[in-house]
Amino acid sequence: MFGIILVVTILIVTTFAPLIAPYGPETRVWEEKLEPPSAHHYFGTDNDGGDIFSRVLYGYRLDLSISLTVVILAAGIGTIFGAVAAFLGSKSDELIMRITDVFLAIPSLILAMAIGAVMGRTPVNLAIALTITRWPSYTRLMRGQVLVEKQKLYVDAARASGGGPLRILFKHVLPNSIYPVVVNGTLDLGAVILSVAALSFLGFGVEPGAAELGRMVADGAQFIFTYPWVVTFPGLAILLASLGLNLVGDGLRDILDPRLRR
Amino acid sequence: MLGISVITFALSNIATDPIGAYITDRTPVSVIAEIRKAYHFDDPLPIQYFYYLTSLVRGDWGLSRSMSNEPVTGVIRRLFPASIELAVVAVLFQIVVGIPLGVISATRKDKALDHGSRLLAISGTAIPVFWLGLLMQYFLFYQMKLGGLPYLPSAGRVNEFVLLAHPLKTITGFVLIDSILTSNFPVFLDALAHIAMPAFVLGFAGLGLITRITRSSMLEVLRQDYITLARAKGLPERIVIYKHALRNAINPTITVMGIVFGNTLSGAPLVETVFSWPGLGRWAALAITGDDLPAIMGFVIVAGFIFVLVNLIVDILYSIADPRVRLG
Repeated sequence: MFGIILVVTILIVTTFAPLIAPYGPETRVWEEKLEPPSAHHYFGTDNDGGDIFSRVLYGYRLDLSISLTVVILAAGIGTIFGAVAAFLGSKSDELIMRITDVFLAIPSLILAMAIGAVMGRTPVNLAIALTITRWPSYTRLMRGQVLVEKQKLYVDAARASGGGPLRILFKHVLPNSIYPVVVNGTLDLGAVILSVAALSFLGFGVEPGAAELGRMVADGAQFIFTYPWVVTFPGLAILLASLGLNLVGDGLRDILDPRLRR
Repeated sequence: MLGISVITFALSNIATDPIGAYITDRTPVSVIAEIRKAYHFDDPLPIQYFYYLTSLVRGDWGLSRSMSNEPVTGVIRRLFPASIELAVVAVLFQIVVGIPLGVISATRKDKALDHGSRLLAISGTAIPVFWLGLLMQYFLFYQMKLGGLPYLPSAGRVNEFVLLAHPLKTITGFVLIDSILTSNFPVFLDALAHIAMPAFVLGFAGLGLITRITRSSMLEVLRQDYITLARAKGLPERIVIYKHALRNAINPTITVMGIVFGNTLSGAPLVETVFSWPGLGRWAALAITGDDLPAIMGFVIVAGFIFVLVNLIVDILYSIADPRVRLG
């Protein structure tokens, strides 16, 4: 329940960021730099005199849209490959699964670092790099699901009534095996937000000084001892988003798959 | 392993022009063509891959621009012990704290400590490690120091002054092991204080996962009949839990250790950067902003290799902990 409230709140403030935020993401008031939190600046100001509260709201926009793109793309690609592998079997199955093995042999954040470094440090490339590292887990998940599902009687019934393999796969099997992907996607979204922030912290994606949560932590790191609020609030924002999505994902799993409840 | 080399090859030779590492803006065009020929960059891709593999095996991994053009393999050899030391201490921390915490949570289900461990697990998966590291520096280093209390150092592996007063002979490259071997206790204690915070932060994310897995698998086992029998025989509860139950409940924990270790590797660039830890992770992080591709690829190969190796060890441990697996 707490998770839903958290996620809905974040979604609302993100959607209406321009209405809620007292300042723009790039507004600088040089005379008011590094001020502590006050009624004037709820979260204080950073080294350039930017209002941290406003920048956190706009940071949410950027981070959430990158993460959402990554999860939707990865889940889409992964699901199709997994379904095809399981449904066609034999050679295509073997080939697709060996490819996922290779991708899963390298920790995903490190692989994303390598891909991002080769492609150049822009937000779009960051999203592509994360998508490339994330799809194999969906392929695995979907493959297992479809393998179970295609043994069931209703698939035989559909085939007997003259449905072609593609029609059976997309009309009958996929809708019945998609729910773990939804659960996994929600949990994954929490993890991807952390990855986006972590990679931005390391220097991927946006330029220094941009209103992105991981970048804001990195930019504030040098002031951690003297002006701790510059780091604290953007980090807390990442934590809350990831926490909320994890809680909602866990809740969804309990609802959709009661067997796993303990 | 071969798969990893295909990925790094694809990234460094197909996705980008590999010649970029060898030239500058002022290199004449004719020389570029010569270099291209000398390094076989004009051959078909499968042949290029063959050359790439042989140079990998021979230990020629290119030069690291962010380390003043030192060979990548040399840098790896130099920085490897620091990273492994940090990772091993982090994993030891996860095992020593996580497994007992999981056992206690299972035996006192729904008590305060059980809720505490659930909170730990949730926050572990959601907390940005680099932020946790910075906050810990603020409280355990800065605020403690301000208050005149004993504090943990915030950066580096060992204090320069302690090292000057008690020179350390390098035997293995691992400061903690070397200082014990040479009975150099001032350096040992100082190194221990330095590693405490980064190891805690690096291990924190996996700690909750290990605790929760141990808990749920213990709960499963504690319901079995032979546990009731062992209790009925009048065995002390401590023996029932740690000898009878844990022995049979440990396997899921071992499996999850492999996954957790992957996360720990991923955390290395972040944690080492925050704590100025002179290891491979910080080198890779610096290489990103310095566009030092050979360094990043070297890091990927080493990380992938360690990850595969650890998963092999996990499989072996698995069959030792549960003889039933060996028969299958």
